[in-house]
Amino acid sequence: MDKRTSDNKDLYTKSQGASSYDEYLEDGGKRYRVPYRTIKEVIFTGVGKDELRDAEHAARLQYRLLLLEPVLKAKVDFDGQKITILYNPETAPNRFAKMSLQGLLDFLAKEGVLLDSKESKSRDVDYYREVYCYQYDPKQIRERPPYSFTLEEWQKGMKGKYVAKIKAAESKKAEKFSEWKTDFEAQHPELK
Amino acid sequence: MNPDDDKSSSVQEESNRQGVEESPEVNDPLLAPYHRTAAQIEKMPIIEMTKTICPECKLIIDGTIYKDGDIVMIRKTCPEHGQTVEKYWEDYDLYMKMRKYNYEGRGLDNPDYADDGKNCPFDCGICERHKSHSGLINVVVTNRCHLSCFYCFFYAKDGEPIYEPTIDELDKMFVKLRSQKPIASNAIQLTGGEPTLRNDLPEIVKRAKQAGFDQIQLNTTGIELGFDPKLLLKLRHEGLSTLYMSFDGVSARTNPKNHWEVPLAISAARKAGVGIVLVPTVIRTMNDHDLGSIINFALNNIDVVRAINFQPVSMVGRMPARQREKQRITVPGAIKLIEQQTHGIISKDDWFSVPYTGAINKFLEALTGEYKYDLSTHFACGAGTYLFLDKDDKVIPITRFVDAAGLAEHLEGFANELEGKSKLERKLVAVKAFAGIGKFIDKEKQPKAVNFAKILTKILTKHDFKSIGDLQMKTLFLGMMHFQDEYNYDIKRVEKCEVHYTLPDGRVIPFCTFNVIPELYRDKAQREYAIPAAEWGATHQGWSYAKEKYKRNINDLVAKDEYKQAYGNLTDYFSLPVNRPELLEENREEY
Repeated sequence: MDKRTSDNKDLYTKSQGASSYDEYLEDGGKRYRVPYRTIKEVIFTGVGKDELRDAEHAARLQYRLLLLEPVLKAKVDFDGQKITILYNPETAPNRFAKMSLQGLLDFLAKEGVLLDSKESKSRDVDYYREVYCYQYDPKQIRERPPYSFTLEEWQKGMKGKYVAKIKAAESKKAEKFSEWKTDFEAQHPELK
Repeated sequence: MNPDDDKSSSVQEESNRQGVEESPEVNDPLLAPYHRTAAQIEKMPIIEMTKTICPECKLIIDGTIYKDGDIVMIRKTCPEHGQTVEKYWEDYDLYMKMRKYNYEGRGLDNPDYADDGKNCPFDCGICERHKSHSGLINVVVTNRCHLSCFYCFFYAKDGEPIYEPTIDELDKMFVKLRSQKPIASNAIQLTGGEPTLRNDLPEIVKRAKQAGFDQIQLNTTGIELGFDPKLLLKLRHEGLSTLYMSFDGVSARTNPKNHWEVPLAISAARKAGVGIVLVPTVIRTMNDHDLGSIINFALNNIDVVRAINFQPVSMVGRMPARQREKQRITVPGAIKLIEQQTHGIISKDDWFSVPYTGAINKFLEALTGEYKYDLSTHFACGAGTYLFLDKDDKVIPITRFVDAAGLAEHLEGFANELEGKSKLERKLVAVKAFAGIGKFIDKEKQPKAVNFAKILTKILTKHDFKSIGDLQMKTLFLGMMHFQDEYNYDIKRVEKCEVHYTLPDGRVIPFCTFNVIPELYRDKAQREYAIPAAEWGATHQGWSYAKEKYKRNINDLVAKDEYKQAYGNLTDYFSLPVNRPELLEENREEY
């Protein structure tokens, strides 16, 4: 079921044929379809806990924000009393639905969260570099050793050996596959 | 909390006292749990608490998993939308058996987001809260399809945008998945739409293989491959391992999607040496009477069919309550029907939950000091068993000659004993562990064609999981995977999910957030990355929506030798009514 609001659907439909804007982007000789270029991030801090009600309602507000077509990402942090929204601004030249900061404030007000644009921090975000590419090179935030070993044991000597072994296994695997392919070609001359 | 304290009879008495109007469903043990009063439900023994969502507004609310007679139910109350009750697991004893094997796995050390995931399931990609690595990754390669099944919401209708990532995008996704830490994803499923509609599919398989995936599956109807066996040869040549092929029953009535073409696809797979996993979506009242026959069909093609993965239907999308109740089936519901339909040859005791394998992994990891592929999914998500087809056509489930529960306990005990030991001490413990394994295998009962003890020892001593591959060549794996929906949603299950999707922006999303909350994930992302119909038309000269649709000629198909062989010449392993001429005649009708 399409859960977008009717306003949203209209925005999307209107934007469909709106532009001949090239969504493909080349990077290192590779071609990617990247829908956005510069988007906006807005952060509201000190959001009243009464307005957010509780952690569960804060999560549902996040869900509702994400239902908005122009909202790409949203985080409603009940404990931190903070709302972060990444959205497609009105100035963006792409074909997708757009929204103004005022539009976001109006939406939040309808949800019972009254905020002032003066209390927010906005910045431009390079979608490709900061969002798209970030997820292709996510940070390592922790390291856990194999079961029954300590991190110290793992890092001292085991890890190096393991990494080398995996690397060697990968290259052996590729070699074996290549041999298998040659055999397969011989068995199936119709492949040529 | 005492789940064994069965109160359903007292609940019935109370219902009579209160003069609750009895509908016919109340007397049907499968439907009765849906028709209790709120007061009656409150009194049912609680098994455990979880977090869930309101199917209406998605508010995160408490979920109570409780026992109603033999059935495990989930109830939840939204302050705005009231109470929802849903079947969670249709056998209490089996639930408690499977639950024992639940364990906490590892998520990723390099998750998509360094985020606490407090607002799960509205925070995905994978965050630091997630507890399993990517066991199987689904990559949607197109949303074009040659069929137009009325119930499907995955494919692009006429004039809708086409979602089809470029080769470079797919390559980028593959490389990212292989860089997951500490355990890189090693099994990938190319899915759609219908992936075989892409002309560059062999190139996609090639890139996945180059990225290092060992197991490359293709989720397909098998129709294109049945008519074009050379394409399957090409795919195999590039590294395709398995066809993950929809197969909802042995008759045209239960499987209108690809009943007539499956024999051709099987024949093509046989020639190309590609294994097949048959994938029946099980819907109560639709094809639940056909489960035994599906297994029988697979056993008849055991040289090429490696597994059946039954998928009890996920009621995604809004659905009238009555229809939901009628069609709902869960993992044990399907298991019990299989027991009935195979006349006890495959019993409910033969099944173990997916995380059962945790004990074996833990032992091997503790022994070798190397990460092993974890199957730490939630116990309620899936189950499995192995069948051996012996020389005398006898079907023997693995549990008839392996004390699987005892073996797991044995290995778990030794895994714990290995902790904190030196290398030499670990070796001594391992010798003790291996020496004790024989007692869990009954050599008298094991199939004549298989020396299971030898295979198991190979797995454990050489840590050679290819031995499982050898095992699969002689066996049929039966699996169950129940994907969730808004009604039975359990966030504890989601955070342990190991069947994931990936998106062009690099995010990795658990199956049951991707598909159950499509408005935030599947549909939204595919809208963003899809190519508008006008642009697609302009860049794909000669393509038309109508031209791509498959037109079936039933008379031609049923006249083919492959068809007659597949459905008219079956060995019957379970005393089933197979090879009936009237059934073959019925299959000539259009569905």
